[in-house]
Amino acid sequence: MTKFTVNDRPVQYRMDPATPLLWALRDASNLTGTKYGCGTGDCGACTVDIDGEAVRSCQVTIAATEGKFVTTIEGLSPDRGHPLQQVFAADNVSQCGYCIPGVIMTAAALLRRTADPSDEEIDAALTNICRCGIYPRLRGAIQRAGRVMRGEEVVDPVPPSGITPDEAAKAVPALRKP
Amino acid sequence: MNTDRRSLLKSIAAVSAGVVFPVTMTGCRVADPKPSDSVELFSWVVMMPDNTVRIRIPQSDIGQGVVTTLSQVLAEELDLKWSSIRPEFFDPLTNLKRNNVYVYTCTESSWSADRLFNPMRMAGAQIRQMLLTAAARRSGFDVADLRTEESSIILPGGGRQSYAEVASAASHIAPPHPSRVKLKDPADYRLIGKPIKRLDLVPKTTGKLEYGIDVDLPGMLYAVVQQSPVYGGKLVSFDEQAIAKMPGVVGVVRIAAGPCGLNGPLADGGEDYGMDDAVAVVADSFWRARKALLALPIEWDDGEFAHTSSESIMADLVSRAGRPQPVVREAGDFAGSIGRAHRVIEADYSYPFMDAMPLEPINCTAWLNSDGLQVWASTQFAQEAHRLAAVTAGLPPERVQFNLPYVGGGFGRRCQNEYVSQAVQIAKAIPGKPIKMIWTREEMMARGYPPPITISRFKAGLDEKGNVIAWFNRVISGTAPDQSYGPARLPHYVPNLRIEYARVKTPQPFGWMRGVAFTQHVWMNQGFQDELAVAAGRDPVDLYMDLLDEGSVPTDLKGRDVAIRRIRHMRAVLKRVCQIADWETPLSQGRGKGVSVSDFSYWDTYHTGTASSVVEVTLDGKGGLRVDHVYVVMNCGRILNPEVVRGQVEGSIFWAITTALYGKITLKDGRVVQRNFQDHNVARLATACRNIVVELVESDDHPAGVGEDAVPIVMTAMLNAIYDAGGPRIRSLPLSDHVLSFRKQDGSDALPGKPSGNL
Repeated sequence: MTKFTVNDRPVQYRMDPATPLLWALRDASNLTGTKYGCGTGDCGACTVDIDGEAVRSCQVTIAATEGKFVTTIEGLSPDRGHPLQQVFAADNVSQCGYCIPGVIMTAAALLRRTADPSDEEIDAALTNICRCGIYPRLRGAIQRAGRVMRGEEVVDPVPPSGITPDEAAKAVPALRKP
Repeated sequence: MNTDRRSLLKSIAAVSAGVVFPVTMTGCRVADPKPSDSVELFSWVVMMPDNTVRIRIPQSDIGQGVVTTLSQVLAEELDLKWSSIRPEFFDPLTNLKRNNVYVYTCTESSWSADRLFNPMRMAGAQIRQMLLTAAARRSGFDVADLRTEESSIILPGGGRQSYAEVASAASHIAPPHPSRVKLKDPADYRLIGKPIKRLDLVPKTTGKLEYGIDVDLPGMLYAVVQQSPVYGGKLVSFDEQAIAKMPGVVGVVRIAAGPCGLNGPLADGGEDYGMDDAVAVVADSFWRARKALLALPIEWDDGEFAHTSSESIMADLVSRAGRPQPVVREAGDFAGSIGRAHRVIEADYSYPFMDAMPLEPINCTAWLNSDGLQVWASTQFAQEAHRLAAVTAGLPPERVQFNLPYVGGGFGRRCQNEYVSQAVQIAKAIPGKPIKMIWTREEMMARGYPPPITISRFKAGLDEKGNVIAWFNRVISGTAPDQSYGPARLPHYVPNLRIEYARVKTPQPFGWMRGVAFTQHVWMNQGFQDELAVAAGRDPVDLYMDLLDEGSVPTDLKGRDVAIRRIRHMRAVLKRVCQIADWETPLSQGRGKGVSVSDFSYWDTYHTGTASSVVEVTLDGKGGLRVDHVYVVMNCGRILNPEVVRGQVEGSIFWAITTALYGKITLKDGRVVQRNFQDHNVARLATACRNIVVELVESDDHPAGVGEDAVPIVMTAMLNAIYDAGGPRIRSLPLSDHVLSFRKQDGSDALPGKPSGNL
């Protein structure tokens, strides 16, 4: 009843089938990139991808996830090379960062449907709560990620602490300049 | 512990491979020559063998970017290669043992830049001198012939020695006295003031950054708590047997009420604030613990606030507003001058309880075993959390290790550490097992630390020309520290002025919500000033400029230079924001604009930024409101990182919008009515204003805080804009309690009806 695929790996959770997917991911799989914010589906911090749709994982049980493909922020890209991950770093979008995994997973599902979303489509899809107030950068970053996906733009690699941009580009193929 | 999740900020214990600089010297804050204020400056950096450098960040990163900006400050003087920097959070125990070596560790009041700019520059410069001396001894050259560049020492002839090569020798060299250290000329800065990317951007996009709630330890158990739902209530009993057989349940723990520390180094009178009795259910998963807690029969004694409500508190405040209260500022003769005024205007403003609601729910992990106590918590005040953990556990501080992870939003809520006391009490009851305690969102809403509910009564006299000749303001607020600065530190010197301020005890303990008392009082003061401008038929900017008059500052005023500087800074940003916002061009029907200007000057020596805002709104006449444009001009002294500052101003704008639209916590029968985000909306992307212009003034002044200064002015400008657009005069919050239809012809406020949402 609780067998499904998480980040391309088959898993079976030996937990109460009524357990929300959020807590199975966090407490059993230690996939803590999926965040708890409200438990009522309002804030979006727990958003994951289930069969291509952005779903608030606090609102679905592991029983209801049976047989589905779940992707969390940890599985979005093998090397943080997803255009949203690149642009969110390049555009200094994050503040405290707590809402960001849910925001990125929501936006990734949107961009998969349409790589060129309008402001209205973005507003309708991104109902996630950010208390820091990253909103002024959010629409632009999602649209820019769409341009990267469409091959119209390249993002300068942002190195994590401790390595240079060149080293970062070596580690992450998507960050290499064409 | 799952070590691969800790790649960014390794725990202090893990860095023993590096050379730790000694703490044998005494440095001075260069800004303060008094020996009594001397602080040690080392323990700041750890040189690693691979020439990477760990910089200790003596603050919590709550999203404001201190990990990056404070690294910039120290790395500038130490001439570090930026890509070699690996920041890590300070260790409160080290700070305690070494006599507050990290100078200022409470993350509140937007103070990190102000308090740490000088110490961290000096620490970097001193360490650089030590490295140079070591390299000179080793190479045989004079120190004067050496220079540094990108974490290396450059020898005459071009030879290089890495910092790592000389670090060990340098650690035995006495650090130079600060008076013999020359800091860089700001013209040579290559890091300070530059829009450097935040150091934590990448792990924030991959889910790998570890917040307190993400701590994972072997054999860890989970706890969910419920504190008395009524503030001040007592636990009578609970029926553990009712849930004992529920799957996964380990036990139920009674958590005792009591004092739980300070919520800031400036807490009112140094008194502990309290927390109430609570019950924790411990289980093998969060979900099971939560389910069992919901099923646990608990009996509470609701105590003295059992019948207290926001309404009853406000009625009390209104009643007190009818009686004289203690005077906190007085000038001239208010009573006489108001009788001579051409026009007298009066208004009452009020402010509800609110909640900061950071997105990461309150949590704390505690593990008591034979080695002592380990604690992890996302907090804004780790030093106090460490002390509180030791006191609660009954252990000497040396046996308590406090680990500070990243913080998923603070906004003042995490200046309180009562959850640390709770988690340690649970760990004491179940020793040997790490316990991760997580509050539900419902528990967070039920047990917030609000800014005080407040009423502010105004009375002002205008002369024939519309000048303000008399100003009276009586403020009564709920439980709070002494925030008389809110009403009293007006930059204006109205010739006849009387300000009264009093506080009454209300159920909730006080919290430092982003913007603190200035959000309340800048709005109330300038909302009322906007009323005066309307009554006098004047442009509010014209009225503000008249009030911001250097000539009106009394010549015998203590701190006169500060008063004049405040006025000059305010006039400058106000003038500039009017230019960029095209203030004088009127808007079409249904649209309006408002303006506000303030600094954050709580007292004369408080380093503060100054900011001014113009906000434009549209009312659709049916109750809908749209914020069209927000302009902010800010002078925050020297800017450490303009990208980070802009982020803080942008965040403040949305804090202001949420506060105005939805900010309200309602108390009924001693309980908070709102339970989750469904009952308390916040600004979202669709609510967000699309046109934001932030201009930062270039300045060589000491860096000032930027985390909250834009909140009061943006909210004030937005609320004044609603009136300008033809809407009602807003004298209470939130807007979701008001009907934003157009005023009637006679000028009275909107017709009663059901409030509607945003455009």
